[in-house]
Amino acid sequence: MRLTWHIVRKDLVRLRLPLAVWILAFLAEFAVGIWFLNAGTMSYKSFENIQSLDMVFFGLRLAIGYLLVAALVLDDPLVGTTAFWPTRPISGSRLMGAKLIAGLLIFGLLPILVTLPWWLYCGYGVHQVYEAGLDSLGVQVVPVAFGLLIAALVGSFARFLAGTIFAAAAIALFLAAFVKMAKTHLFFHGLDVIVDSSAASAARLSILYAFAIVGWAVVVAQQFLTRRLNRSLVLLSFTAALLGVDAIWWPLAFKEDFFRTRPAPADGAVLDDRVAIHHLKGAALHIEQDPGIGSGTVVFGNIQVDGAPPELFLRCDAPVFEWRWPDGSSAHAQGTLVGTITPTPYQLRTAVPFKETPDSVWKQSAVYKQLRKDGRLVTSDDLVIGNPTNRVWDYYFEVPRAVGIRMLSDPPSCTIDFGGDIMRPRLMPEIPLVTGNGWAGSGEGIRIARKEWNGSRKWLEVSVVEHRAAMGELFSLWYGGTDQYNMFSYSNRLNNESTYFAINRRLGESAWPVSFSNLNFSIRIATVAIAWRWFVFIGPSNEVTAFPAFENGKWPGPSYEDWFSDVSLGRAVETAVGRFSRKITINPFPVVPDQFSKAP
Amino acid sequence: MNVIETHNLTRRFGRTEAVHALELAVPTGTVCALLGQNGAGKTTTIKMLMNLLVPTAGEARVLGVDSRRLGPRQFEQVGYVSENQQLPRWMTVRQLLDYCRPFYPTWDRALERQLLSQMALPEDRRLRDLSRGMLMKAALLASLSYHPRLLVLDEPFSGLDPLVREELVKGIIEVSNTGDWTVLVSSHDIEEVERMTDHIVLIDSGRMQLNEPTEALQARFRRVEVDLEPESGMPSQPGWLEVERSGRRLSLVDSAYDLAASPGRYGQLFPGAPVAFHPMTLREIFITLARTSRQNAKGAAA
Repeated sequence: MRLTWHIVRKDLVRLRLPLAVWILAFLAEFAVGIWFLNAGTMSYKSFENIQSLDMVFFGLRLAIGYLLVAALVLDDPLVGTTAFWPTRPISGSRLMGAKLIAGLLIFGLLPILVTLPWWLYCGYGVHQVYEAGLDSLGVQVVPVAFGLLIAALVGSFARFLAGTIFAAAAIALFLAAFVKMAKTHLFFHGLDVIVDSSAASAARLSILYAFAIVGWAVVVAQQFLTRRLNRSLVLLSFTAALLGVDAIWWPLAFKEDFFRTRPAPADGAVLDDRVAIHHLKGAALHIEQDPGIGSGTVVFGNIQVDGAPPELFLRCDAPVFEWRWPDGSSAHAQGTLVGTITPTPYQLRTAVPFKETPDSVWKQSAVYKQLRKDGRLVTSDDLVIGNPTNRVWDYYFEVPRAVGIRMLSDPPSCTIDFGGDIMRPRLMPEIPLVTGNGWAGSGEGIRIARKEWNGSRKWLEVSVVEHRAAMGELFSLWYGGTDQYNMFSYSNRLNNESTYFAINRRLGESAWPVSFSNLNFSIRIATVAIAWRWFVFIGPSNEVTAFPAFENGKWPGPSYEDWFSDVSLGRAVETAVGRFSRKITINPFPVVPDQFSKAP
Repeated sequence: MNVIETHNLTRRFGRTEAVHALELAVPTGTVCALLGQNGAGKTTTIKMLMNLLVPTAGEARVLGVDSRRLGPRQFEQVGYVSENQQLPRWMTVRQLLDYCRPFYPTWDRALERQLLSQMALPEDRRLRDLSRGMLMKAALLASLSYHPRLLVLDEPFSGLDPLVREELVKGIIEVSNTGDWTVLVSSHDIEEVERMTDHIVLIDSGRMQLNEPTEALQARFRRVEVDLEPESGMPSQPGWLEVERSGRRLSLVDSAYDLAASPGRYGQLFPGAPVAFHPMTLREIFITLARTSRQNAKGAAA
């Protein structure tokens, strides 16, 4: 072991300069984050700069990390007959152990140590640091593993770069061919039947991962232990062949509901029998004349949810459709739920009755309850009315043309697997609406960056910076840049994010930002999601502020400057509290061509 | 006991046979020169001996172990220096020694210091900044300091200037005289190794041409010159190489010369003719054998 560490030490000394550059890329990214968190103002231009810088530094650290693997392995190359180590008393297993230890230190421990101050700065606790550490490892592991495999099969850095290009091109070609085949007829043994079920697809994916991991480990270990390149290449080819066969053929399912096994939290909410999810009649088939890369055959329809508890909100996964015909053939497809992309949010009636609302509504309002309950802070149960989950969800999915045409002439039975998260809005502490005020705790926080009346003092512009731990959300909206003015968005919320409102405790009233004014800049830096929210308040009326009538670009109504002189900023946040899963069976599942389809 | 033994050792690269059925034995304590022209198969042979290449057929045993199974325990006793080896050029000389030292239980710090001083190596200079001669010295230093039982040198002097070559040869001779070390040194130029070898292996096109002690080799080779009568015939004998007649002068290389028997035999072959026997240097022997081998190959091809 002493000698193993001796090699590790050598590698760390060898890589100290690239490691320093790598650490600088991390620190630079955190500097961008600190700048973004603490800026006084934020413009499109500034955000674009920040986003570009962040992407550069993030890309840089991924790229340097990838090259570091190569440098680590190629300092003692496993291919060729000119390496220094094979004629020294260093066994392949010892070298492999040393490289694994160095890899763990470099790609496991070091990023966490370097990032720790950033996480602490953002208020992470022990558990969040643990989760963020795993998240960081997850980001690194794929490029590092890929780089390790390539580096183990080449003898020089130039060949490593060439191998990277070759492997990337091969994978891209494979994926492109696979997607094209999957979208046309690969899975349709006998032209009109998909033989595999969704559970079989899940099993296929699991086997794919298992083969990939085992194949990777065997090839890398084989190279370290024997340095027999030809044998390793044969093993690699064998693994690739297994992956290909599995990807296009594996027909067996391990168990049903493979995708739906994510357990609900122990104290999670459940949907009771009052919630009804059903499919509306009239699914339509659209057939493109010139399909391009896909099948050009799309089925679309509607699912309706009724009876969901008003205090809950359903965030739905993509539904999985599975069709069966009497002759035993079956097919499946994963649909897209339009509602999950731009869901209409729940409507909050926050703390304030509207003077023009009918008395019956007022009696249901949170403030009414609050007043009646002697100043108790409203809860989310008090806040939500008119749950938008009780609505019609649009869906669509693409099927191979043969299957679509068969649906027309021979309607199958259909099972829709419909599931997702159960979200509950919760109220966060109010903050007096004064620039510089803020709140932070448990790895999240907000800060009022700016509060300013417009020139005519008709509306109040407010900028808020919020941050929170965002594990496993590398590619979510939080990383996604800007969400500009959206006339069709009914509230100022982002998916799964905050909804803001102003509360005037003195008057017992509240105000919503005008819906079209919502502007978001969001970014994710080392698991910390940071968003700049910019919105405009006009006055203490939902009806006024939801769709204000502008004349010549100006709000002609009264100014509520006095009303906003002593208000606090309220915030509701949706939190996942459980999972739901429902299956709907429609038998038969009739499909009719839409008006734009050409006759098949 | 032989430190190195090969039996039917063969290595092919595609259709090219780099080494053919090599039967080699290097006794303990000898300094063995593996000689051959460029591309003769010397480096391939050494790479098989060092388990850097797998034999296509046959086997090699190094320190009593199958070369394919050579591991850390054997390499603790083997020093390998090659012009082709990728040294960790980012290290300084000191770092190289510090890195190598813990791997060898027999590392001798006193010897390391002595060699360092003899070779006048700058300790704090990076290997990548060293001249080629200095680099080979550093590699040699890192391969001698632990008293290896077997020192394998693959073209160690190639491209070095005479002064550095001399220093290296001197260093190897000194070290080989201090113990029961075995040295296998490959070269395409026999002058480099002539002074230190006591065993010669000559290979050509992957085939062994000869394998014997240096003294015996030099004893059995003689350049022979005979003044013949103009009309006398020219006999042929086994072991005669490069036979040439120019006027009355017959010139040949006798590869089976025997100090006791050969003068009498020549007297019978050329009665009354003056015969002169000239000892040959290893270089002359090497060139003769190489030339003969090439002519034989041409003849076979024709």
